[in-house]
Amino acid sequence: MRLIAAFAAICLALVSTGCWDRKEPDDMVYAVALGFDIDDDGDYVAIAQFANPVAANGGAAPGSQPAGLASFWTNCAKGRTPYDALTDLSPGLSREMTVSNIEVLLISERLARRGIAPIMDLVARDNELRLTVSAAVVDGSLKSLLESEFAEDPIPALAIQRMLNPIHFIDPSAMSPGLLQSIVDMLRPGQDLLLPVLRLNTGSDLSSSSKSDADSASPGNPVSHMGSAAFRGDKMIGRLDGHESRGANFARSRSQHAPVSVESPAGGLVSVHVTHVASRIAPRYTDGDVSILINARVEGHVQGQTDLGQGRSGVNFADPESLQCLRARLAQCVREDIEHALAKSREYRSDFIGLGNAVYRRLPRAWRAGVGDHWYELLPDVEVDIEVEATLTSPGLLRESLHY
Amino acid sequence: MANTAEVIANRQLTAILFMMRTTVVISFVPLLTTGDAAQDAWVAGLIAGLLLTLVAWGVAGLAARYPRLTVVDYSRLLLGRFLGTIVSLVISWHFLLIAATDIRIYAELMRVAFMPNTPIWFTIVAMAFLATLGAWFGIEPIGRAADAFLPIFVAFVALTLLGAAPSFNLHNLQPALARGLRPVLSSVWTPLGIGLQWVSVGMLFPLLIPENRRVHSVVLAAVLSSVVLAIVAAVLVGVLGANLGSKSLFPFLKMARSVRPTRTIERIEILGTVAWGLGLFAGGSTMVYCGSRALSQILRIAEYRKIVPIFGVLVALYSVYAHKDAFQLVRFFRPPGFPLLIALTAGVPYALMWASHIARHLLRRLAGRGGK
Repeated sequence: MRLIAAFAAICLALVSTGCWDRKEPDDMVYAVALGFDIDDDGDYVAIAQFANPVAANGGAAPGSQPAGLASFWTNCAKGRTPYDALTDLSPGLSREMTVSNIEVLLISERLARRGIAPIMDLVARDNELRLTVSAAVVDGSLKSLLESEFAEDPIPALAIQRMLNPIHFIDPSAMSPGLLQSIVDMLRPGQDLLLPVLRLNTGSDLSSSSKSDADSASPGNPVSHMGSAAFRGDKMIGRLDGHESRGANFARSRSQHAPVSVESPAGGLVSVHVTHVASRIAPRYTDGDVSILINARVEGHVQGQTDLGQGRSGVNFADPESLQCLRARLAQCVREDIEHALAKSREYRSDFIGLGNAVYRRLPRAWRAGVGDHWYELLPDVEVDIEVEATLTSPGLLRESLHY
Repeated sequence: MANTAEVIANRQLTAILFMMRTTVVISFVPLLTTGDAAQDAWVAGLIAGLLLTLVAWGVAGLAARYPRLTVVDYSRLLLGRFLGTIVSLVISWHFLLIAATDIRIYAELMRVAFMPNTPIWFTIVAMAFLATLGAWFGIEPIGRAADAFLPIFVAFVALTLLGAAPSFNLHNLQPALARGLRPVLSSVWTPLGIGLQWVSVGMLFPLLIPENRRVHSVVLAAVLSSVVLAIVAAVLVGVLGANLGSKSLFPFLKMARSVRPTRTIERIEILGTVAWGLGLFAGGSTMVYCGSRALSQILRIAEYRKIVPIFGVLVALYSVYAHKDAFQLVRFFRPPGFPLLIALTAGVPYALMWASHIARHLLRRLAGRGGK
């Protein structure tokens, strides 16, 4: 009997290796980026970018590959729902499409302004799509962006993912919160979503990008990030520039690294690499009025300074007064970024900083007593104090400036 | 009277009960999905744990008064032959219900998350077959399997939680207890009802060694599984937020699929799924074993193995046909229906048995005093 049972168990183990859902990798085609747009008729447009493993294999230089063997290709389809559009991609493919490996989810600005709830619903419900992917709003043609070639990476999805990922730490305005964080932000009381905005550079942008220090794209890079998209509920209602986005991320403790240049007490500019930001939003409720204190602690080190030479020695880092002055200017710079973000939050009535959520979390009785119901009406007039404490941890690898 | 030479260590029973409860409770996290506790789900877990510990003590305490009898024996002794047989049949149905429902939840998970094209009956039959096989071999191999599975089970659940830890946000757990106790209590009853699994103690108690640690092991399983449950609820809410967590069909799986612990280790949901499968085997086979033994005692069949295949088939059929789809399965656990069902079918019989036991005890004492 035991032998029969063991035999049956082995048979069972063999047949349960995939059952009806067995999928051969050779029969699959893997989407690496997914974009959603909406057309004039209100139909959803899905655009998928697929990696071409044949082109990526072999280690041959791109130039040596046969003509037409691109490292990626895109496919586009329409549907009445996001899922319809997604499944309508299949008839144009000879293999079964899977979206389990996508790296980025891009949403056109037009669709973002219309509302992204159906996209988030699909992503949260689907058994292949994961909430670990980075998300961004695209200013311009989503299809053209997904068809663009990047100098750094043969597969654009990977390049975009790196742009939006925290490893691209030096510019916190571009950081994507990821889909999980995005959905959690959208569902939190008193909190709105902020997504990075990507823009497809035109030909003139590309030629001038190396000259412009405002543009963060690499020379020749077809895509640059242009601040953030502010949402109210599931609808995009406005844009933030790089400084405002950075301020929002400072206030929310979502950025750890940022370059900040401040005026030097000795003349010129001192560049500081901010390495750590920790913020606390403390709400108060007195006499029926809500007021809020944003306390940010910023830490950084000196990365360089200008206006040196010709007898000028720059900042004397051994002098406590000079250091104090630098710290105060760094704090002021961070404060201004947060103030700019706050001004946009009030203007758009979009609480992407999460002031309302702080009230909800820390003053739940006040929130339930009516503040929560009228939060967006109160937001423009809420008194907000911003305190920034800045610390410089080191002067870099130079104890004092070089004399020329 | 129990007619068996089988024995299992108290430690093994603790492992079986711990895995059985943890498996079901982390599967669809009733603390989050069946009530309104939201970010306070972990508090609901602690309250449910406290109540479950009392229930475990009540079940084990009664069994300890009749250490050589199964619940089938002492229910007849305490409630009379007719009522005792009815209670025994209800308890046998509990074993069927638990095994079938646990298997159905697992099959739904496989269908929803991994194998959407595989018929659900296939997964159910496969798991029911394994549970039946385990029961056929007896409680000793099940106990040894539980011993072997426990470290893997704990490690896999812990690794899933650790993998999700970088995405944990304390803000998601705030405000704590801001809406009072009522929403918290609404999430207590279904997890407490799932504590029905402890009725298996009534069948396994005479087989436990050493005898002096029996009650301790039963209560320990309740405490440990409740602590794990509260921790899982806290981490889940911290990662997914109360809103997304409570709206997910399988929140633990959702959490595991929504995080990327490192750039090299990207996917960790398999850990939780394997742990779940191991726990299901331990729990399912124990339930089939207990159910078969209870029925064999009721029907006066000396060899319980004659009942095992029939019970296994019943488990598979019940699992396939009791719930039409995942919607119905979710509705089944929703309070007040499910907790009320358990309170009526398990709570009332145990209350009657305790009352009868106390009455008998008091009468004996009074009779003893009268004799003096």
